Amino acid sequence: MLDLVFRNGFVVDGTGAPGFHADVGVKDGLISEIGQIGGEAREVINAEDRVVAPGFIDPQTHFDVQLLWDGAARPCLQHGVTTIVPGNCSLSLAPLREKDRPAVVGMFQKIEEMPPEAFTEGFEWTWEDFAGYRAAIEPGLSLNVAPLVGHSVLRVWVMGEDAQRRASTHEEIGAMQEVLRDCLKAGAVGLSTSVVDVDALDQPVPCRYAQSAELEALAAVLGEFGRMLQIVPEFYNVDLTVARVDQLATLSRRYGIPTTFSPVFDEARSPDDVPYILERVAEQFALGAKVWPQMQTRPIDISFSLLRPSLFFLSLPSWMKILRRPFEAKMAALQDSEVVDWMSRDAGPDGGERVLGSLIVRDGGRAPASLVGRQLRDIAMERGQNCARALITLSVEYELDIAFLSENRGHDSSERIGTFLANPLVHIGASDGGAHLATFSTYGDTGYLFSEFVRKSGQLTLENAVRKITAEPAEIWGLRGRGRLAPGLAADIVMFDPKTIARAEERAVFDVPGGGLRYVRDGIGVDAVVVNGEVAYQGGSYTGSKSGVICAL
Amino acid sequence: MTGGNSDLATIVDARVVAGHDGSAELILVLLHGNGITGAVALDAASAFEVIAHCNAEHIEDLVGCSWRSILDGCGPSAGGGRTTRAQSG
Repeated sequence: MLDLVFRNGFVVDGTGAPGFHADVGVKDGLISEIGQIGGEAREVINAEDRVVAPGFIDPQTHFDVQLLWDGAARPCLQHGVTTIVPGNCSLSLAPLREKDRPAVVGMFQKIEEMPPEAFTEGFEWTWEDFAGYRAAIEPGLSLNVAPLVGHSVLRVWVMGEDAQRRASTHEEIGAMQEVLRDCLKAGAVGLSTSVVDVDALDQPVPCRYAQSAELEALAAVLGEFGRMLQIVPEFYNVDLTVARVDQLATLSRRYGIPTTFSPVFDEARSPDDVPYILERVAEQFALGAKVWPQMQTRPIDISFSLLRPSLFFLSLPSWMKILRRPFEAKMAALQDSEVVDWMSRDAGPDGGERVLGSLIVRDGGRAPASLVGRQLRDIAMERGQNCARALITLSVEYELDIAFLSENRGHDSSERIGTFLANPLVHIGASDGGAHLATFSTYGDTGYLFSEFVRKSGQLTLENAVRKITAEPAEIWGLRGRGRLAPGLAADIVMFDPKTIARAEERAVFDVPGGGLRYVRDGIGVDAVVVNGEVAYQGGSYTGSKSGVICAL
Repeated sequence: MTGGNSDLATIVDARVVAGHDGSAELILVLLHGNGITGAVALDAASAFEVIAHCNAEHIEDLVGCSWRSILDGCGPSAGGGRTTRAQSG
């Protein structure tokens, strides 16, 4: 008897081949058969009018900490994601000695925006080496994890405080190679590094002190295992990014490793940048290198409150002068009618309608539910004010603890992004899941791929979109036995409604240990998610199954 | 403005963009003495330092400012980690 059957679904198997109507059977954690399946099963899921596809893979996340108290990496499963890659951007939680925890925690807090309590109340530190971290998370996993080792922590393990002061010696490089080897044997999928990240004190993270010989030596170890090298390049500078493409290509060819860099953003004012990068990537692929650029599907928003000065107001000099003042002086100025008149005039003859009107009130601060999600122009109209005055008075009413969102401020041309995402050399990723918790939601990029680029613009077919986030990442990352629906492969399966799959609106929750805020998006249109043969999410609920594994081996 | 001295890097464009971390960032495009242009991304703290040092009222006022004089005036932080993005992704 089968364990599970998806009955009468539209099977999109991850290869990019046209979908077809069939049943999908599961037994002992694997896909057992696809076709017309007779006989009984312990559980049957009606998949009529639904797509049955391989579970989605998110290759760029920072769930390292969250996995210690939430093995489902919520809300990943809601979005059909069954495999995640944490440990990106040079930061992982292992290998890490007890004495070095404060420094590395500071780096994580910088990226993830978690409160200190998340590192003291959320879990117990039981490990130092990579195998220990694996042992700490694996029993509680509801989804699969292919963890990277962070170059920064590897350096700290070998060099201590000197990791953030100087280049390594020959002996230290040899020691790093040994530790990396141990990590890879313990289940790491590769190594991550960065040339741009900073720590809690705005100092370069340790891996930025590495010279090329160190990276070469570590790439050589990756070559012994055929594992991935991930890097954050100078993504704001196209020439430097292209130089990094060349550097990665050299390492890829020399050591026979796949490499990936993230993120790659498109910007309207420099439309030639991404094509220039992709052209160089194509040249390097033609020469035998594997250099995968990661691009996120979602546009970038800017969020801010008047608590801290934001460059958003740089086009309004009078506002900048006021907003850079200390809190008390700022509050006083914002309640001075002459100052407000001046700021209102400076916002333009339309009272700020053009610059400020489309701002959206966010939750997470002190804004009441009646205002959350509404555009400033609507609130202003209701109050009989112009947009500039509405922004100021609202902020004063809530002692500046009211946040605003300016949507789609970058990477926002669907026409261009869709073309890039469809490029066979572009790796869909860079979601940053689990990072920037208190600033914006990093979840739901999979749903957005279907809603924006399959249904709305039609730039990707359903089958190609599924392939780009299943079989393709599995192949790129060497996740054997995953990413496709075929007999004998892992039963990581998502069932979704192709007519509705999307990401929900952003909302604030306070579920980080210590009461920490994070912004999340729920999934829409995902009905059921199976991880290694067990139903992990169905009908809007997490089942509590613990069938996830470390899947890099 | 271009000259032959690589110290004569000059700001030729300044714009606010959406940073990867959800904040607004200032992108400065520099024209170096050898004719090459390149971009520098500044977080808010660094950007305000640069703006103050240039006595800029508007973002457009940054155009034409010497990058070297900005670095000299702002101290090490303007030439170090904070001239890159503030956070990872």
